[in-house]
Amino acid sequence: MIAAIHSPQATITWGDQFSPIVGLEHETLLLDITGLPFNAEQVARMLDARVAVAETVGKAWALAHYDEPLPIESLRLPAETVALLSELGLDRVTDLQALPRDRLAARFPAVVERLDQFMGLLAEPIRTCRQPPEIVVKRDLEYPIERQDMIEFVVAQAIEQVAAELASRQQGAIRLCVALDGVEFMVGLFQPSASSRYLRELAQMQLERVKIAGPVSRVQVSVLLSARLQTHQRELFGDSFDRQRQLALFVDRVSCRALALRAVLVPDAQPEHAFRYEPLTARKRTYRQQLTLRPLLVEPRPVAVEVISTAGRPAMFRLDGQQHRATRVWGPERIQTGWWRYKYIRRDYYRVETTTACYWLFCSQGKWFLHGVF
Amino acid sequence: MLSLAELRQKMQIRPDCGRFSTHSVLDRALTGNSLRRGSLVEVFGNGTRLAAVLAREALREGGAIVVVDPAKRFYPPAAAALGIDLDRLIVIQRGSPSESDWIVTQALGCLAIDAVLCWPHKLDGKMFRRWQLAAERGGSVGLLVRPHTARGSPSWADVQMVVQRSTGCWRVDIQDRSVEFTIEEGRIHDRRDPFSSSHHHLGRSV
Repeated sequence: MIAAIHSPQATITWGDQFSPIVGLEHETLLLDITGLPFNAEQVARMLDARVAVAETVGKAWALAHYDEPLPIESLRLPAETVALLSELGLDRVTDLQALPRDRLAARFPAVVERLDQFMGLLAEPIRTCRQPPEIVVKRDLEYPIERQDMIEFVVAQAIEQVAAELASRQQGAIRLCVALDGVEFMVGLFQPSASSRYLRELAQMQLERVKIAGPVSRVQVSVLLSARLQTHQRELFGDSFDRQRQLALFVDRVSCRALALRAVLVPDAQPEHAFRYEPLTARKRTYRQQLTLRPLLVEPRPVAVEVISTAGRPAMFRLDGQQHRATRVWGPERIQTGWWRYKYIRRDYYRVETTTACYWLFCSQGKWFLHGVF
Repeated sequence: MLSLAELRQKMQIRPDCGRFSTHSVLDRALTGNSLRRGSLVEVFGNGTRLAAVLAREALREGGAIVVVDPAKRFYPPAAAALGIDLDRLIVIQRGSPSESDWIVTQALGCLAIDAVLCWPHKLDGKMFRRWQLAAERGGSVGLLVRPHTARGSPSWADVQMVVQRSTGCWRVDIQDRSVEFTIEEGRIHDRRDPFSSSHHHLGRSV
């Protein structure tokens, strides 16, 4: 007996608890439950999914997706074949079953094959897929070590083993975790890599910055995130892939010492919240935003300034002990927002040109602040 | 068996260190009417906006702009308004001054980075020279925005620009030539002839 569970939440690991033979086809989990206890109703409630039990894979899959009478789409046929059969007036599986088999086989051999699988005339084994075991390399040392070069050596050995395992799976590490007794640090990569030399170099850069309190008796390197390795034919001249690779090397190297970030615009009227930084390795989210004139350098916290204003517009202001006279003023641009952040913002922004620069000032509750310089 | 890098070295294939136009009135004041890739440009004064426009012009297909901003003052929406594609902008934050120097060296020496924008406060001769060599190696343009007080100190920059605010516009002095311009909608306009501005299309309305 075959059970089919149609749910994006159903994973191979989750299916392991019901059957030793588990496969995945188009977001549908297929389980061989012959002779095994399986309560379809309970599973359906648990996952809020459609669950069907039938004698064949084809029928279980069809019932997990469609109600009876079953349409021809339930035979897992290509869209073009379904369209063609529909044009011929064949909409249901029963319509196909009613046709003479030899004539149908002469014109649509693939349809007959699926139909036979559906009815159990042709065997269709479940293609099992197993999650590969996690890549974790542990070293329990006989004697604790304290010297930095020795620790580096042991970590390098563990990384070499990890890299060899990754290479055998055609995978590259995106995030590695190195644990030394109580100390733990991450090595993040912009692009997957299985090069032991490269991974060692990145780990060593992190090790130089990590403070290890005492002797180390246990070293563990584990791959937290990996992806398929990409291979390209390299070119001697004008190699765009080489540029991408160089950029990835730069980001990886810099990320060991600082934050390499990507800016994403956010539709928010308050200038401080109009963008957000994300790590370069994270998945990008995009928003639409109207672009307005803003300075390229802003103060992380607006700086209070003394302003002499005429008719509410700044005429002179004092900054760092220096007096600045406004030659031209644009504004106000009123920004009222942020009540949902428990901090209501009401600011009147002005672009103030002086003889030295163009400043971005705002007035809030009768007080003036400098927010940036254009 | 030679690796690709070794083969390139043997054939003396260097990164593209050609020149690029600023597509603006600035070209008139520059030697060869353009800026050289693989070099440093010092911008004295409030020249961040100008430097950002130059970085945008230096950008090539598949390249990136790096902004080294340990002070966390850089405002990306303004860069987007200038026509810089934020997908190709990398902002580096959180680093000590010595680390920032190292990051700038790494960025300038990277073949995939076309422009590096930074605001060095103190720049000793050795580090300056190191940056210049890194820029030559990587073929990128280093745009160093520095205060007026840094003028006159020894320099390894290819071009020095002094930016000053004049009534309603900016004035930039490059050696003995000076140009007055405005930056509107991400384009550099000649102050005297606003319609003769860059014919460069940003590909988007800002």
